Amino acid sequence: MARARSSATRLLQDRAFLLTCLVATNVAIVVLFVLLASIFWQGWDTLSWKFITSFASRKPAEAGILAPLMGSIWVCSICGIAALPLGVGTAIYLEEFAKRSAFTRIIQTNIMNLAGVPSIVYGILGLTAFARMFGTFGTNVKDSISVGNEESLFFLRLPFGSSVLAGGLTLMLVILPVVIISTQEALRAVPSSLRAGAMALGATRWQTVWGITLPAAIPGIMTGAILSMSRAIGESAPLLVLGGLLLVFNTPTNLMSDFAILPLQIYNWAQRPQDEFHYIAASAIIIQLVVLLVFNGIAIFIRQKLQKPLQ
Amino acid sequence: MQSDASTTPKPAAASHAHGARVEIPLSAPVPGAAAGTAASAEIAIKVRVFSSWYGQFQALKSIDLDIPARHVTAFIGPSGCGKSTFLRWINRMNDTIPGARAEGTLELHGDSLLGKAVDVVELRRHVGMVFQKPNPFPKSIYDNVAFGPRLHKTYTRAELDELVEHSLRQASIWSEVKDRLHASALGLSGGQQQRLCIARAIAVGPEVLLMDEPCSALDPKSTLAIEELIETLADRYTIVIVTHNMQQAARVSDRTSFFFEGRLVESDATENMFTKPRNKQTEDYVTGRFG
Amino acid sequence: MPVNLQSRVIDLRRNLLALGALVEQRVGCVIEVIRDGDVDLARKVRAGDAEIDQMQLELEGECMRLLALGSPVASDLRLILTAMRVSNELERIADMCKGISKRVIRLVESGNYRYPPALVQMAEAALTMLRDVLVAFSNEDIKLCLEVRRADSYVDGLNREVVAWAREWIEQDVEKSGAAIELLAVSQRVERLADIVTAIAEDTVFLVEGRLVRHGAE
Repeated sequence: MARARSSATRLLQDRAFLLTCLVATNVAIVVLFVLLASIFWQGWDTLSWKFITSFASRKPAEAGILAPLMGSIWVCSICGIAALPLGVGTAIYLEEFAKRSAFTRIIQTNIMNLAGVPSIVYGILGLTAFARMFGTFGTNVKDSISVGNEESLFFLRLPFGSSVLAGGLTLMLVILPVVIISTQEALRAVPSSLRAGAMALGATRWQTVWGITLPAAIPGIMTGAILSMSRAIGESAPLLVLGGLLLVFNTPTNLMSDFAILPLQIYNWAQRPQDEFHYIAASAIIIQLVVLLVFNGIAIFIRQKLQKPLQ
Repeated sequence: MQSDASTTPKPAAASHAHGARVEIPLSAPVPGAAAGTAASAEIAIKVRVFSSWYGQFQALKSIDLDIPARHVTAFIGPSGCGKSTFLRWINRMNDTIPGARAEGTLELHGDSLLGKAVDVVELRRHVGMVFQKPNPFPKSIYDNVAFGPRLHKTYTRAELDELVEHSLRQASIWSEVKDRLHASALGLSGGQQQRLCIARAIAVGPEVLLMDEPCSALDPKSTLAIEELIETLADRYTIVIVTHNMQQAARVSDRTSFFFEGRLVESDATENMFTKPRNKQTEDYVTGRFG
Repeated sequence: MPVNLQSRVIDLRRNLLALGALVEQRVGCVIEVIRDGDVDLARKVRAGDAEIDQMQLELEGECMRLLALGSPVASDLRLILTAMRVSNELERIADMCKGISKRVIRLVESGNYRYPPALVQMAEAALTMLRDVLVAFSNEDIKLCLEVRRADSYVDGLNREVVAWAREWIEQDVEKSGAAIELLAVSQRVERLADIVTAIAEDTVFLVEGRLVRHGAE
């Protein structure tokens, strides 16, 4: 015989669940707050315009993050510009055009697996494929092929070596699976009734995707982009392998320039025994957070812009 | 004794007072009866021995049917009888379903609609479709209506404005939206959205309009508005409407076809289907004894 | 509402046949009234007309209700329309019976009651026609309906005989012309009765086949 549940017990359970959720949320917020507070407390004083515009130095008082800052911006920009079209294009092909077959299933599974591969593996891959190009141009700098002037903006050298281009492409490999998967999810979330409506009007597959599916999926795609870029900005292992910890005293001038990046510089300073370096490490962290927010802001802005016609 | 009286074409004057519609002096190609003689109504869609499958399952069995141009034909029948499937073959929407195939003759003004050689994109310009649940695009009202035409041709702003207005007028919704053409289509009520979808379908200039239970998601007042709209549209377009609602089929259509388990059981002028159907199954369905 | 409609349509049919049976019985009585000049029976027939009127009104009311609320189509629709017409026609037949009874009473009470055998034959033929048409309705028998229609001309023929007989009566005895005219009125009503039965036959054809066969169409 069914036993009635006491209303009081159920209410209690409901309250207990609510409490648990609140505690979990608050713990997360508190931890975040503590982290941010400690960073700001440590790094605020040493944050200055001079800090942002100087290069590295053995003396903490004179050290600046200009090189890593510009390096990060260059590398992440290249990463974004390369990853987004490639990732979205792949996702569109897989979702909208390819016929479901064993082949596509294999591809799909592989992409999902790639999302979980440790990023250092991509670093090694990038080193081999982009930086050294499998040795086809030899290992000596003298044997490289170059086009254009090394000082100017338009300079290309094969193999890429430890350049921002190689760094950006390597990072692209890291975030590409995530971009593909989140774009696929966003495309799937578009109701099939919209596609049917477009097709019934005589739209080709491409016209349907470009005119209806893609615009409707933009919010989801941009969210995926934001998450991917956030990850890219903080990646250090692959770029470490690629040679990003060089003591660099200039900002990148073209795609083939050497680079330093913020995460590695932070690591470098945080490792030093002197406390002063720890403070400027904290300042660098603040700068990195700002860069992160700026990149996210751009993505959110793009999302808003593309969503506006719907309002 | 009786079949002679009803298979020869009757002159229009002999029809009972029927509002503005004239009784179709077409003989109904019922299984077994003689094929159509001297049809005064032009045939838009010709169907002969048409069968279709979803993989192994045969959804439609040897359909023979003539759909007259610029009249309303209703498909009725219980759930799963194949009427929607058949409708979707007319504009080849079944192509999106893997494993769907068809055999037989299905022609629009003499051109076959089946086979890989058919340009389905072009076909869908001539055969439009309105769906059960209104599905306006998440765009402005203007862009919704303009979407179809823009797919096929480039227009100047002025041409497009005129086309949009013309389509919205035909769909009896112009007066309600003319001041907010650039507002989102999702802000309209259900009945308005469906009329917008009709305007959208009309905008590409089709000859045939397929409607798959267009009113089933709407309230009675919107349903009535759409039924009146269908009556005015029938002057220019060949309309095929699938409906579960017998009274709607009776109100709106000139001819009715009854499907059951993949077969076309009976097809006749609507008046006859609802006063003296020839087939017992039709009689039972129409009076509500089953289905 | 289909289930409800089904059973109510079945009930409607049954009630219509019941009304038909009642009217049939009245016509039977009227034959006796004519043949025997039975004034008591005639009075009973006259009084019983109210009952039939009442039944007819109820039937018609039910038809209206079903039309408005049940959205009937096809055979259901045809049955309801036919029931409305036929109930009306049966009521008019009963009215004829009442009229005949009234006149016979007057004739008998004035002592002038005479009639030709043709009159009784007419009445008997009319009764047979009525019986047949009710059977035809019940069995949906079109052939029988068409026979009933043909029988009407037989009744018309008998009516002409009665008219001839009445003329003779007037020529023989001009003072009895009033009575003769009353008798003609009786005969006329019997002939009208048969006509109404014919209409019922035509309605039955509509019920079964959905086509109208009025005004001489085959």
